[in-house]
Amino acid sequence: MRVSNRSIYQGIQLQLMDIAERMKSLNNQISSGRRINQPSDDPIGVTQMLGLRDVLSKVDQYQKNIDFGESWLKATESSLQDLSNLVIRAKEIANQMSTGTYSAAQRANAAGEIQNIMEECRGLGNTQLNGRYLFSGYQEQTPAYDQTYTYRGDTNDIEIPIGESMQMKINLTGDAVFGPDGDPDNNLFQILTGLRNALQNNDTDGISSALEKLNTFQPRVESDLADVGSRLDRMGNSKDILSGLQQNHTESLAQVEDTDIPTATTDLTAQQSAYQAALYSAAQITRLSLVDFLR
Amino acid sequence: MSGITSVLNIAQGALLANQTGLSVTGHNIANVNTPGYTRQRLVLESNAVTEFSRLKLGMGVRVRAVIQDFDRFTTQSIYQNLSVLSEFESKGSILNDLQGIFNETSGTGLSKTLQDFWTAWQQLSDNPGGIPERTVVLQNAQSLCDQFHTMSQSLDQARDQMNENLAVSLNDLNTMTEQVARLNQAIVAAEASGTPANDQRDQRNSLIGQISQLFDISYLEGKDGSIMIMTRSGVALVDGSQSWKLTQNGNTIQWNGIPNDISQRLTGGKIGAWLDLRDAIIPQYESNLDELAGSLISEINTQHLAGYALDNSTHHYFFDPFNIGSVQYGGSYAGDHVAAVGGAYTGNEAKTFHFTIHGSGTVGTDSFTVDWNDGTGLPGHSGTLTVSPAAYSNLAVFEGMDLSFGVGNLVDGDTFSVDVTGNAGAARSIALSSDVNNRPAAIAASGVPALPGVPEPGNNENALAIQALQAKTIVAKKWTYQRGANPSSQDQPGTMDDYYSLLVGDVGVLAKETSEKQEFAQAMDTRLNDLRDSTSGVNLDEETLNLTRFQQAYTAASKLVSVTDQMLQNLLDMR
Repeated sequence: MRVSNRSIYQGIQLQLMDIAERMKSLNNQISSGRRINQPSDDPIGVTQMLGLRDVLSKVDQYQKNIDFGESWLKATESSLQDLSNLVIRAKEIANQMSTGTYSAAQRANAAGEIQNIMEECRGLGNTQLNGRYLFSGYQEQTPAYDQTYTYRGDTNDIEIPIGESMQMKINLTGDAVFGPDGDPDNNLFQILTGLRNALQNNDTDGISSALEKLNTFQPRVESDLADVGSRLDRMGNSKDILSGLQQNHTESLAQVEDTDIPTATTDLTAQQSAYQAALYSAAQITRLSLVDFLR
Repeated sequence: MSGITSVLNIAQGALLANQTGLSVTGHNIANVNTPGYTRQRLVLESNAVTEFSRLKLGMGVRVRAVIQDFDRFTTQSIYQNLSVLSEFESKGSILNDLQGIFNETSGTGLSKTLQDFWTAWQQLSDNPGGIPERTVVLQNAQSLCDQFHTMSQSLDQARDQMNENLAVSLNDLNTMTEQVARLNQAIVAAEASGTPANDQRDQRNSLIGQISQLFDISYLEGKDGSIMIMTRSGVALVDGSQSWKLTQNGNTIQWNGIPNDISQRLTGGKIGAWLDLRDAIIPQYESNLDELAGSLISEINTQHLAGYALDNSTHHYFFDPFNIGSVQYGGSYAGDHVAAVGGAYTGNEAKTFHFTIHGSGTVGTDSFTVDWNDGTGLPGHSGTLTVSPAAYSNLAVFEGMDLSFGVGNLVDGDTFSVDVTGNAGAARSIALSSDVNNRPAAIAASGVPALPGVPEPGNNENALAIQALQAKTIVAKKWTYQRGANPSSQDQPGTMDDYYSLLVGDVGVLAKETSEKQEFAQAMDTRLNDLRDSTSGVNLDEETLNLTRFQQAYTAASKLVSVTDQMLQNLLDMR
């Protein structure tokens, strides 16, 4: 085939431009660290990348939610433990005072102590975390128990998202912990009021009956503690799972998104050699001309 | 003719012929780099024979013609391929710009802004009574609106740029077709004498090549040497010495001033690419972005309207419901009450809702009914609402819309209507509603309170519901636009985040495809040009050989002259 000068030069130019373009693209990948610098570099990869980033962002937020839920549950746990100790103390007093060896005056003193215990229990019921009352349900700006030991909160469960379509209750309401409002047999404050009155009145029957009611009440606190404990466990598990998920997805994201530096660098070196070779051959070809040889 | 003089004639002929040869070779050498140049060649033939006694003697050489080595078929293929190459080149470069609008790879695009928006709602669900969390929700929502606006505006600007490009190239086109017409005339005149007008033909071919870059054309050479050019779809551009102009009028392209839009008939090349972008590709991306924004507005508003704010008030909008028009009172309207249509329109089509009141009386005191229909006539798309003295606001109509009445009198037969539009224009107009803008406490994080009127600061149910919308599968429309056809849509189920990442993927796929087609066309172009050059291109070594050839012949011919001259001299010196 006849070859014109224009063909030769055009050919050289296009080949050099081709190699230069490949070098530019590789350089871009290496310097930005990203394999995909615009959607057309890998359209399917981009869709995967966006999906993975989405999941990672959600996982991150779920972890934050779990941290918040854990702090709430731990504060609840600590209050419940204090409450448990107070109930035990109240039982001791009731037990002691129900025997015949104590005088009316001593019982009156004990009544004072029971009154203090009641106030402390009320204080526990009104525990706050960052200005929010733990045991008031949705009425988190209202103290759960007022001066008359009446429950002012509501019975709602507070839930937070800890996973995709997964929500967890993080609270206990006052009426679940301390017993139904106004119930003389099952409400702690009612029981303690009864006990205090019985001590003041030197009423041993009243003291014994209060002791029985306290015995019935105590397992409630224990089971609440177990409930909180198991919820904390589940949150801990979720956290672990999320952590694993985070790691997996971060790795997948890196695989899709990041440049494989060794491969890219090798490719770049190869292109550079190709470019040099092309330049060399161009120089050789363009040097030859018949005019140099005539006469 | 006597011997020696005729030899001189032969010598003269030879000198002239070789001089011409040198001149043609020189012309080729000079034009080695001229694009579109076809190498020219001398056609020599021996002169007629004369009788000299009974001998037939040749009378030397003469130049019959100077022709060009033109490869008609390859050249036509080159121009056809050039249309394809130019089309994908133009499209490719603009698609790269458009990719910048959807550039999510840097991590700062709409995808991230959306994620931040959903995250802010989750944080609010952790502390529904908090004001800082609400402020963050509003800030992130505002960023989202701003991002939609920016993207929509960039797409608009790209579309306007296409019109500007068209204007410039149509001017160029008209200039070129005029020139071709003039060249046609010149060539016909010049070739009347029987020899080809090589350089003018080269000029004309180069113009045809440039016109092919603009759109697909067909061209035919007539017997007289003039070329007729028309678009592949048959719009005449040049015929003989006549040419016709294409002009741009707004969004239409007109032929010869006739007010008919011929832009459908222009395909391929740069102009085809720009028209495709202006009328199909960019509007498609705009519509799909609008679908996303519209779905977001509709879903969030629907949930937000049902929720309760910090002060236990409800029915607050989060985003402005941009697609519900104002109430238009009908011809027969005798009451003095005020009607309002609101809510979050969850439908996709544009239509008009008609309402007719039955019963007279006062709103808030009397009961009456309202007939409504949405103009489509489909079953289930009409009905009757009962308005009682206790309930005359936020009455559910259809597809998320609700109706409210202000206190006042009404008359039986009063009519009014409301237009709703689909999602078109959502990305351009998405904005925070005045209900919540700068009013963080008005964000409805709480669900329905247990006791009406008693606020529940710890109630995070609505915030939970809104953040769950991120994972909700909605059915949004996916639009496809094609030039010359009506836009069509398909229902695409998925989450809103998925819709957007698929949209980005679409842009990437189109850009990649275009780039690959461009590479292929470029390779074809190179190959075809090499083929053409093998017939029509100039090779300097070859021309240098020709120089030597003609020079030697010239030298020999001039020697002939001096020898003949010597012979004449001898003759005259004979005493």
